[in-house]
Amino acid sequence: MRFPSRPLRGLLLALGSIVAVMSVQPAFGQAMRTVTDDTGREVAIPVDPQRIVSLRGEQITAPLLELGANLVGAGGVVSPAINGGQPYVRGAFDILDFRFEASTIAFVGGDNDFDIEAIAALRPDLIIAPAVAAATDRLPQLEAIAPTVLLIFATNDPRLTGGNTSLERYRRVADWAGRLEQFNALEAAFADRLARYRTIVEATLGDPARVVVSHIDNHGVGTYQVLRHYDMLTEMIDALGFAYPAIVAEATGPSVAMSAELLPQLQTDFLISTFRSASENDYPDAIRARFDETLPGWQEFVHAAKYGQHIFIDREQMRTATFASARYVLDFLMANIVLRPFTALGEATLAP
Amino acid sequence: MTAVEVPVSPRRQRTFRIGRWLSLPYRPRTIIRGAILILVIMAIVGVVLPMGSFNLPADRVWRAVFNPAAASSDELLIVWEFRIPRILLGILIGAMLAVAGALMQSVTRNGLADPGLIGVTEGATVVILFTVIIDTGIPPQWYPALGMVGGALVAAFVLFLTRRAVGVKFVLIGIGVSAFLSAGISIFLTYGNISQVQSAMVWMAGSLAPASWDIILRALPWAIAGLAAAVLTTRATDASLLGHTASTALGIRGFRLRIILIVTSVALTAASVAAVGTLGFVGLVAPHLARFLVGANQSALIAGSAACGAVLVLLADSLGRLVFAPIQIPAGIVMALIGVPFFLWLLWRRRHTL
Repeated sequence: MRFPSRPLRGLLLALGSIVAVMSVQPAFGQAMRTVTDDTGREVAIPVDPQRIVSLRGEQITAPLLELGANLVGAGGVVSPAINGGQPYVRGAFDILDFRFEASTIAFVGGDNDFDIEAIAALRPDLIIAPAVAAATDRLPQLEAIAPTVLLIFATNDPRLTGGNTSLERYRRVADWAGRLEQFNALEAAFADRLARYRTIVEATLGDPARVVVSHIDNHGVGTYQVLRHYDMLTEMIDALGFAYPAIVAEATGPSVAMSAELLPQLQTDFLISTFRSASENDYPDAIRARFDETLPGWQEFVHAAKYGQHIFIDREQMRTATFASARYVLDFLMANIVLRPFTALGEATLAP
Repeated sequence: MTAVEVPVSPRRQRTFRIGRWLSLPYRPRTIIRGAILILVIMAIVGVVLPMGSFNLPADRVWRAVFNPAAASSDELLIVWEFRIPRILLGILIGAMLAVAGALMQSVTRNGLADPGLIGVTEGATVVILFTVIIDTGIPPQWYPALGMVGGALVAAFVLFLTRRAVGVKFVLIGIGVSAFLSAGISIFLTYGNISQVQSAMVWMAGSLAPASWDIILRALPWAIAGLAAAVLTTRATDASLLGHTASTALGIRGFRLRIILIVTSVALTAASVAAVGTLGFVGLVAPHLARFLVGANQSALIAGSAACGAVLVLLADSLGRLVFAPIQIPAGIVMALIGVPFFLWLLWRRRHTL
């Protein structure tokens, strides 16, 4: 028996090509331009997209919402503990109070395991997806529906040659969505705010680099996760000019997995942990209990913990690539570090 | 060359022959039950094909299927690019995994043997995952072959440790190796690039959502070769069940047969893993269903397992795709919900013989 692979392959590819060409035609009269996405693909997209689908909550959907872009569908998450079990968009739910049920934007499934037919039903003219779509064989499906651009948001992804801070990614998303003008206006206002805050920091603390700050999380697996790059949190720490402890500053990767034995090396003025206001399991009290369980008595030899300078920030409000998150983190740092009295690292002694 | 039917037993068994080249004994009752299973598959396809989040009336779906020239671009896209490839891939992968399981159970003479349980799936997964995580640039067309290398190495290692591919010892050592490889997979997921780890996790959940003609064409040659090998070894496998002395007297080379069956099982599993990720328990559940519904001789087992596997994966994927839409539950998770209780039930039934 001879398997007719070539004729069958030819027939299927021809049919696929016809379908793809017929379905990705831009709307009548829609002006197009070519952009290069984060993975280096050149994609022809509408100059002014009217029907955008987003497949990543805090990195794409949230900035599109802040810009007032023409979003018609978005991926989301379902958790019994959050939003009464209704789908929600991580980050946008928390910082922008976005609710699918109170909007005309359709829920299209999970960001990574989306319902392709739900997306097709929206007849989008642009899809903005995370680069993970290219690695899971799903990109051809999205491309068959509409022009699809991919965003890289992993800080250590070697494919990305340009900048990869939250605001740099935000700028690219704004550009693809045809909302660069709105982005520039928001950016200018934020730059003005940041300049004013820096003035206050200098007036209050002198050189902000004298203040040592680090992120630390304990997810209950026996080790601590210390991130040098953690979206708006570390970007605003950098923006205000605070310093990191050597163990973090000298780390080669984006994070340091730290055992309890290394914890005494994490001597800082302030330690910042993240909590989730939408999940009881991640409230600050539960997180403090995890720290105590991993290393009882740790407050005695970690400066920030000993002097009440272990502080908590809402992770989901902090993480979005929006100016709302940037303002939230700036205000948090100002209120909890700059505008309060604290015991500086060099002024105190710790238990041996 | 003409097809000749030779009745061996007028009431129960006949033989299908093509010249001197092919001689397949069969039982009419088995054929009828197999035909019923195929009708079940067609019925499921008939029900699930018109269903989906894109609101497309059934008459337009069938028009797109049987008269594509009269269909709109939307109808062609939804039916020919999304739904039909996904259904065909489900049938193909279900049949491949089920036959892989049936072959492994025949080799080990152990109903608990499944490529997923003895580490073959994990072996294939580790190699493919390694290829993805370190970004080797190897095109996906080579993933089945790479997966087969990983699966074959694990199978060879387990064979080396057990000496004979028979009995509970084989399965227990396989489970140990499987656990070891799972730890290796965890290391990749812990230290890999976050984007690649996310894609790996989606792939490992065993989802048919990325189904495309390209993926089907990648898996099809392996399926044809594997299923052909499974069919061509049915008589020898049946004879081997008579015991070493009797089967040797009948001209069966037991060791060579076991190697062929294991390599075929590994190849089918690796190609499935490369296509849709880790979709567990099909190889465990489907052969048991086939024995119950169709029959226990090897030809009935292979054909019945293929059909039962196709039904299982098609149902699992359709439930995951439709029940909570647009939320998509990977077929691997739905299969685990079915497979884990089934596995525990099997263990309970055999608790005195393990």
